[in-house]
Amino acid sequence: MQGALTRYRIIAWIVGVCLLALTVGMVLKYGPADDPTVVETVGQLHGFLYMFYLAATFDLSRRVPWPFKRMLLVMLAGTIPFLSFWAERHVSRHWVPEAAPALVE
Amino acid sequence: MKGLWSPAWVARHLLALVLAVGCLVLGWWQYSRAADGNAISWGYMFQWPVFGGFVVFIWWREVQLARRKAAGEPVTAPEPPAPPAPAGRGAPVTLGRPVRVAVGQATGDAPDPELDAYNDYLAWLAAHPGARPSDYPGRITT
Repeated sequence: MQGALTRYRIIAWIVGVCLLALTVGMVLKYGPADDPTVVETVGQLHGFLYMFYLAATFDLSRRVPWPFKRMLLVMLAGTIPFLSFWAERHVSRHWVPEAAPALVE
Repeated sequence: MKGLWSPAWVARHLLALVLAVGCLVLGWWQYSRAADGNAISWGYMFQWPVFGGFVVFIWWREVQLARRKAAGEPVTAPEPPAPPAPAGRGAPVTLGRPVRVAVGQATGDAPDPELDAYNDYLAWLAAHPGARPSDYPGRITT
């Protein structure tokens, strides 16, 4: 479960950064700058990375396990700029039980 | 299967249907954009159906879970059991990563010459504050 959590956290962070880059790109493209370069670069990448995010979230949710709605909520949280980082922290701190000590005799 | 046609489940079926069809429509829309010369849309055209497929996958899994629950079968595979604890104190301990180890009282019934020697060494160091570890003369056994 801790491995699944680590995978989730890594991909959540990457997708979060990608999403911020995409937001900046949107501003550049549709704003006065009218420059679509960033969107063209990051857009495809973000789409594929988000697939991995969904897979990692699904994997984590069935291992913990979470209620169905919580899984959907976490998946959706990955699509909102800035909120995705907060969601990742909230998930790690409150929605995944801590690792049990490995050695107890 | 009355359980799968309760209002909540009908809402879930509809949601899955809308999302899956929506993804396909968006993929089709990207295809039309790509055909109009927007090259970047070729990639999106392939991505949207994948998301739609994921919706179907999640929907199918939830249906299976509900069926199994209705049939009284266990719904979640338990986490694999922890590896058996090493037998005895001398067994090798392998750890994949740093872990918190519970600090337990050493059991007094089993004599441990190695531990006794180490404690003697520490006691000698404590009794000779200026001494270096290499000055330790060894354990005086009686």
